[in-house]
Amino acid sequence: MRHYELDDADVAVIVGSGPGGASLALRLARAGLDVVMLESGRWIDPEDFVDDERIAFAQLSWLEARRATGGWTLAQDFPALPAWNGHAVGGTALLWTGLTPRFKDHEFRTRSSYGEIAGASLADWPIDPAELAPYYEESERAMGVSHRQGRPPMPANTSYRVFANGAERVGYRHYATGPYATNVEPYDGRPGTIQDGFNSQGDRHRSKWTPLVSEIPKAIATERFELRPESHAVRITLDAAGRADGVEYLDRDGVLRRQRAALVAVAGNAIETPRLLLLSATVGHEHGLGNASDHLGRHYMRHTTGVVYGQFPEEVHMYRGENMAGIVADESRHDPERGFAGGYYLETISQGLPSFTTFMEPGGWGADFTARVEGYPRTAASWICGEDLPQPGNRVTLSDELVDRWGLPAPEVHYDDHPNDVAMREHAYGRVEAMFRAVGAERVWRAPAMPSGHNLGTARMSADPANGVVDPEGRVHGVPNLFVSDGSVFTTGAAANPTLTIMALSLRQGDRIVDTRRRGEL
Amino acid sequence: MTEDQPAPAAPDATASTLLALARALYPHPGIPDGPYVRAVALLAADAAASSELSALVTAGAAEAAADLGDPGSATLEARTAWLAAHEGEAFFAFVRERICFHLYDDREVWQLLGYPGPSYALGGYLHRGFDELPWLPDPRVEELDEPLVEIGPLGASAAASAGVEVTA
Repeated sequence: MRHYELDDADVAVIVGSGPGGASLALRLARAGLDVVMLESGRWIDPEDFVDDERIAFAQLSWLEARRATGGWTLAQDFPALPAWNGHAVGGTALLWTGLTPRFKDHEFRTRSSYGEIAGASLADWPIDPAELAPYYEESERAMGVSHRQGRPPMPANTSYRVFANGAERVGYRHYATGPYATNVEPYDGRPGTIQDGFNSQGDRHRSKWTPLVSEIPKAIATERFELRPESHAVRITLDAAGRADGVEYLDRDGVLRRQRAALVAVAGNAIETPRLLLLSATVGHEHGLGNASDHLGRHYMRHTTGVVYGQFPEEVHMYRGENMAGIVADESRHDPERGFAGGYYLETISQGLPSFTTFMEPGGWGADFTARVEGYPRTAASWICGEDLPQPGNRVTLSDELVDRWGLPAPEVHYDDHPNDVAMREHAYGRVEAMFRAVGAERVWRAPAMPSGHNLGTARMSADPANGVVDPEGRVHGVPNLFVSDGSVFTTGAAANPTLTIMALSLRQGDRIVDTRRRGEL
Repeated sequence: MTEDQPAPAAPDATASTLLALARALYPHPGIPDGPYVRAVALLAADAAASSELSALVTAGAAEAAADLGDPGSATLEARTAWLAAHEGEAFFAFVRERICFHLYDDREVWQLLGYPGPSYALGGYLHRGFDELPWLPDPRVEELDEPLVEIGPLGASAAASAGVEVTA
């Protein structure tokens, strides 16, 4: 792998190796830029992934100090784990399951489509959906998404058979096993899935797309890229002219280093990205980089979610096969007649026994709990993924009390449900219950949100610097060579699982950066 | 934790009280004491990491033993009632969470409850029934070749679902 000196001031430094950072890195390196990637987590070879939920959770998860506050159920159920992020090369993609719906056009224009909603900070995205379309297509090819760009559909596993039959019987039409970013058959040098059911444990088989098995090795092969794992960024530095000129990070031995930079892109997920920008406060940016208008860390979104479980007279064995290869899109529309704005997807979700007992009723115990545990082989489940409304008070801040292992202020994540979120969740719960009952469920029950895999909005995109943190290219307002390249930039969250859109935005941003640099302006 | 792995021992009185409480927290008549004993031992090891937690567990178990007489011979109803009366307390919260965590991570429990665990070395389920569900028809897996309504109510075909009660 190429090596760059710390005082090489001509490199692009990217913080974070998840879908956003890795897609950008590959784009820039292939265009001839020199790229240094700082990743807080370790390199873990796919062969070392473990098909055991508890072991893999400890191996792959971001487990630094965090705190959840606010009215959301997570503040009660999992106060130290508001979000479930990856902490290894490949980022949260190591944990993701792989559904890749695109945004709908109106979801880029929610303020115009939904109107004014009290308490919500809705805004239209400052980009044209048509401009993103080719990047969506390219992202689908890069991930090898099933059902798209000539890739075959995923076959139906046991969970999907329950889910799809239920959907059909309640009158839904738009159900399918994807789009799903896992190989059905060999593609891009990776094998087809063996349906082992451990997507969220990294996927030893490499059938699931992640940067670890795709963009990162491809970037290394360009010889214009250096990956530095176990390098935890702690501060972005600015020069006298107010341009980003380096990133300070702690290496694996805890030694503070500084990599000089021609440009910096932050892709640390919607919790760590605002945290790093807040930690980088300096003269002229007293409240953090990009925070002159007080939007940094605000408008945190995590999707309106919940799980419905159904138990049937006959066996399901939900642990068999791809964990989330099933989606119903009929309710993803915006239909105010349902009593809320925006839409939601229903998605299959399978859990092994450890996760099932953790999430099916957080805090639950007693004979009623164990009766449901004993019904585990006869259980199917569906996860709700709906658009939650941005609210300025839902935000990531630096804790006054809590510190991480490096002694830096930990992030606190405050979230209150908007009434629209509550109404949507209620509606969705009822629909899944109806689906499961329609195929003979003897018992159905509702479970609250799990720690968030979808974390969005904390460095929102706006054309006007007064209304957000980054411009339509993801460039931080007020720092011309500093970019954000992850879900933090989402102006609003849409109903769709976000990874495809994160990648599409990164590829688009990469093209803009390359063009700007060729013009000598970066 | 495997079934043949020796478990670290908790002090006897505390351990036997915790065992009685664990069996009331997560009562599975078909599961023998072994997995519960292992879960209690792992809980004790977790508590040993901090003197505060150790004290919390020892004191809580002593209180339960005092209230229940011999917890091992107290009825399930009596133990359940004791737990319910202490549900808001730190002792309950710690013990419940740790027992749930360890009990359902026990290989013997997995086997008894029908969860096979790791599958990779067995070739996953591609040829071992990932798609076996004989009690429902084969569903379509492709997306429908018909536009999705993006704004407004569903079309007539989906109105058929109106008969299904929605809790909202």
